[in-house]
Amino acid sequence: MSFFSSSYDVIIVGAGHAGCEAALACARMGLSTALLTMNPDTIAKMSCNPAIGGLAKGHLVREIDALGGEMGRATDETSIQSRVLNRTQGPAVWGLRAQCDKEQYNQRMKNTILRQPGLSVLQAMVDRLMVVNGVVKGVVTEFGDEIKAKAVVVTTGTFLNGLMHIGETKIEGGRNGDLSSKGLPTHLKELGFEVGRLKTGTNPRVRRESIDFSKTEEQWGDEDPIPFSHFTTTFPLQPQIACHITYTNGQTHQAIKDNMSRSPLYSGVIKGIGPRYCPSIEDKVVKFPDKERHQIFLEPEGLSSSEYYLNGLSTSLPLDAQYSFLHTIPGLEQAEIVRPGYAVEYDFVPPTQVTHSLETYRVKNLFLAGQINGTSGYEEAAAQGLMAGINAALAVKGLAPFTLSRTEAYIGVLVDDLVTKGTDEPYRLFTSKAEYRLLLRPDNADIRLMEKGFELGLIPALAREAVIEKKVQIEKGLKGFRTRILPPEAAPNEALQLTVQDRSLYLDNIMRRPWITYEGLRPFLPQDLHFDPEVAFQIEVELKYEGYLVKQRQEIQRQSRNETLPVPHNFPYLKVIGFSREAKEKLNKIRPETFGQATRIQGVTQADLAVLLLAISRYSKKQAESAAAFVQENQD
Amino acid sequence: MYHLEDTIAAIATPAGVGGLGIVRISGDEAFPIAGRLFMTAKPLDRRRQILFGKFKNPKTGEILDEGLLLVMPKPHSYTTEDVIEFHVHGSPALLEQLMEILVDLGARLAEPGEFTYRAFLHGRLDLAQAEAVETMVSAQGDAARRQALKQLTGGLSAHLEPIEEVLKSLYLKIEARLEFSDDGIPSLDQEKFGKEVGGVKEELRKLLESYQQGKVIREGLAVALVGPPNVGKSSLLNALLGTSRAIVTPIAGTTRDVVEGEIRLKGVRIRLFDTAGIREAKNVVEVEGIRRSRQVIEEADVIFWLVDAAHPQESLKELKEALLPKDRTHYLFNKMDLAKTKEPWKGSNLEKSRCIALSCETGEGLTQVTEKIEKLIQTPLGSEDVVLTSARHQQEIQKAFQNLERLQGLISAKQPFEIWAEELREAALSIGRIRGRNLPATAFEDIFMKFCIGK
Ligand SMILES: Cc1cc2nc3c(=O)[nH]c(=O)nc-3n(C[C@H](O)[C@H](O)[C@H](O)COP(=O)(O)OP(=O)(O)OC[C@H]3O[C@@H](n4cnc5c(N)ncnc54)[C@H](O)[C@@H]3O)c2cc1C
Repeated sequence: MSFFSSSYDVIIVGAGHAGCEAALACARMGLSTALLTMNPDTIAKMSCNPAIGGLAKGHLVREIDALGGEMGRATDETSIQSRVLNRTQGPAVWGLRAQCDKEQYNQRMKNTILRQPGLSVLQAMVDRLMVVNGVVKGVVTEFGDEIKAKAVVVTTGTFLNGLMHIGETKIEGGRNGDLSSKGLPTHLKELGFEVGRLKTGTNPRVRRESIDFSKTEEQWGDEDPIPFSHFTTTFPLQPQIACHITYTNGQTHQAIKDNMSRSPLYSGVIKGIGPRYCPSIEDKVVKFPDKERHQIFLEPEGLSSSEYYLNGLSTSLPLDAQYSFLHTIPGLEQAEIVRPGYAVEYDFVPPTQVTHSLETYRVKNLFLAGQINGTSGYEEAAAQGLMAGINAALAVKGLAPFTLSRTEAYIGVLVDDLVTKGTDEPYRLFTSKAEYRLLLRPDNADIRLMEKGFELGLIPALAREAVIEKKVQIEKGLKGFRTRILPPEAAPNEALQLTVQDRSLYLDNIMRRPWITYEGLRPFLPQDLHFDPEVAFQIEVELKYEGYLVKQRQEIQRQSRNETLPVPHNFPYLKVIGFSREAKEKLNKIRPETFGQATRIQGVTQADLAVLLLAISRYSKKQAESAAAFVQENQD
Repeated sequence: MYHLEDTIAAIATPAGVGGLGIVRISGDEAFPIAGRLFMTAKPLDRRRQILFGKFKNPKTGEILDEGLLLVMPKPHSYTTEDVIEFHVHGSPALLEQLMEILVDLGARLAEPGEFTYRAFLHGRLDLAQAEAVETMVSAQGDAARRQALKQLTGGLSAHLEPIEEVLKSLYLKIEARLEFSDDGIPSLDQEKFGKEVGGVKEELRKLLESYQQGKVIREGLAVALVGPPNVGKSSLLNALLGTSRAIVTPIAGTTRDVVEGEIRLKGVRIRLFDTAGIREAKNVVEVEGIRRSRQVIEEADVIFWLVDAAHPQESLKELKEALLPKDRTHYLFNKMDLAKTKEPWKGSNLEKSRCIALSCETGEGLTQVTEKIEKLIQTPLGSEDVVLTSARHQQEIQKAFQNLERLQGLISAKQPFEIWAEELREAALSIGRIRGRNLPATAFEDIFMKFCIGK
């Protein structure tokens, strides 16, 4: 092909949320990069709900941002309602969430991609990979064009053998209006990859003009919204609008039950496994028959869009059935469906086949990211895309992979869960999956990760310097609070519930009281303990959580010895006597990179781990002995 | 390091004791090895069985002994491997010789705890059960044996299971509200939640209390006999033992070291320590004796301070200087046969209920002394109660208890949910660890190194 250079450093297949982050990271790390997608109009398209963030997902976006990813900035620029979930709880579990204007989001991302130097975009469906001696060398498109690359990142989302269901109707396609990718999954199987099948679904969209909002509750965003990006200075940029809440009722549930036999989910047509945390309305009605009503959020798809997304009503019932239950819901009696809800089944590559750098074990320099790894959600996809892009770039440069551990980032938890435990339903991240939830907060993502982002070449030097200075300030503040006592003018104080006795207490003790905030104390603090709001917030949070943070940091230190003990990739698990059968199979399949990873494999018991530990040390001893014997022999 | 593919052998009975000696082997070679040692008409078949016959040295053909062969084919054995036991006469020389022959035939001497290690590795025991084996091995009283057996059959694990379940369900209640705060889950009924936390905490408290009793069952009760020289400590020891063990002479300071004797009351081991006096020492030997006495007093569950009933003033004066822990001390007025009054404690400020009139000469008051000890044992033997016996279990439960105590504080101080969750998760982990889950694997080796071999 002449108009298109036929050789790149890295090729990204797919321009969803994973593909975009991967492509931008590679190009920004200085590599010639090509982004191949079936349809450039749908770059970074939100397939499902018009929102980014939430619990754990919001944490991911903060981390992506601190590593130089794009999602946080794009969200802030296109946000039309911003809300922090759990704001009455502590900051470790705050869920930053933004409704976005869907069209604006995908335009914004598309333009960023198109303007990125070093990044080419091409409309092409990839059917095969070029693999020589176990190393990927490029891709082959459906028209037979060969494009060479030193590394390839595959981020094909729900498109591999995508099959949509609306009632009894089946349509081939990865997403409403898109094609299905059929060559690639077949080819992946030929290469020896195990391929599984999952299912997800989405809700009907209805016309704004057909909704009677007077019968619904209004829900506004926060008055002092918090942006996702560390680089956002003015926020919000656009008018903020309301969402609305309504509820299903007995009639709705009856209408659903009456049509149940026509649901592909219940008639057994759908074979793929769907997400338990994101059930269809059919599932909710069947599994919770006692629940009298289910909450439905009416979410605008954009400022200028007339489409409304009915969050909570994912369904694959036939269109007439969707109408009949919709019309029982207050506010939706006259609703007109613009796009029906549907379910989609698709192939995925069980993620135990990739390493922590998201490179496949089977084919060198081939990386997988996003929904193809069995995850679900824009943020999970973007996080993996970023990591895979970074690692593809590092691989081309001949540098060591970049990985994050469970103790450093939610991204680390996500990747480790995937490669260690695999998944048999669409995987979604939760904050409770992080062992060190109080340490991995959205508010300290910059402190945890920005310097790493800088080293990778994805964060500007100025931002890094600012973080280093921030850390210095926080340390100074913490020291001040731990060594100074409450100034006498501060107590007694009724509003702050401080008494005369409190005058002899150190400031950190005062701060630990649930109702005390830095801002409340500020008027009484000595001048050198006045900090800018971000530093002050860190001081406050660190002190509030202090006992727990100290314990978690100790725990991390204690576990790290065996955590990082490497296990040889070709370790002969099948030869070890003493493993339970399940453990033997799992270990042999997953081939943990470290002992720590082995401890997290489901079905591997403590007893198996004891055996493994013994076996590893025996194995390495034997290796060492035979190496020594070899040296010995050659000296003689 | 343990090599799991080896066949291991060990003597399972204590050295030099009793008429019976047991040698046990476990592993793939158990059958072939036993086949060469045990004289049978036909080859050993793989059946659970007990055979009677002769053991011979396969090299020399010499008959070693007559006895039983216990055959336990895999997986229905303690280690889940092929296990064979040789029950022979308990002569140390014979047992040694047997071991030599077994090693000759390809078995390896077992490391400490290795049988249990294998049992555990093969999923035969959970961690709590494995530790119960250790307790059983080292327990010397019948009560301990019974308690240990109960744990071995999963008593503690079974008892903890519902507790762990409740903790998990409480944890999940919080997590659900954090992770799905927008999903219309009804807000938490904090009062009910607090009550449930209190309920689990109470269960843990009971278990912790049982540890004190458990300790008595496991280690026996330590009784220290203390008092001025020549007041009759050794005589009391001998009277309790019913033998003449300590050297009893009327010269003050004869019992220079701590003399130990052992009796059993209600199935519990009672260790009696006859200490040297604790008055000021005159020479090096006495200094050492007194140091040891102090240590015994420190560790004893019960202290009997002996008073010369004929001259109570002197003994009581020394008592003041001895600074004994009052809550563990009882006062025995010995030599009542020489006393001037029937209640020689009158005039002192000692609690009457803690004083016993005694005469080792006539035997007066000896039953009161043993009754006093029996009262302190108070074992829940025969009852279904689970008793904590391991220090590690106690520690974990203590930790979980503290988690819940802090949690109650967090609830009433209206602290945010994510730190409630932290306390609950830790508590559940502690309980889980007792049951052998989520424990870093390295801890296991230490635990198994502590075991005696052969159960
Ligand atoms: C119907 C539906 C419902 C969903 N519901 C939810 C939900 O409820 N909750 C939730 O969190 N997430 C949901 N999602 C998932 C969410 O949209 C995805 O997880 C996320 O978009 C995945 O991002 P990705 O980058 O992996 O793939 P996608 O965003 O799917 O992007 C895939 C990209 O790859 C391209 N592509 C595919 N095959 C090829 C090929 N062979 N050659 C070239 N290009 C190719 C496509 O053109 C596209 O650009 C849903 C998705 C769908 C389709």
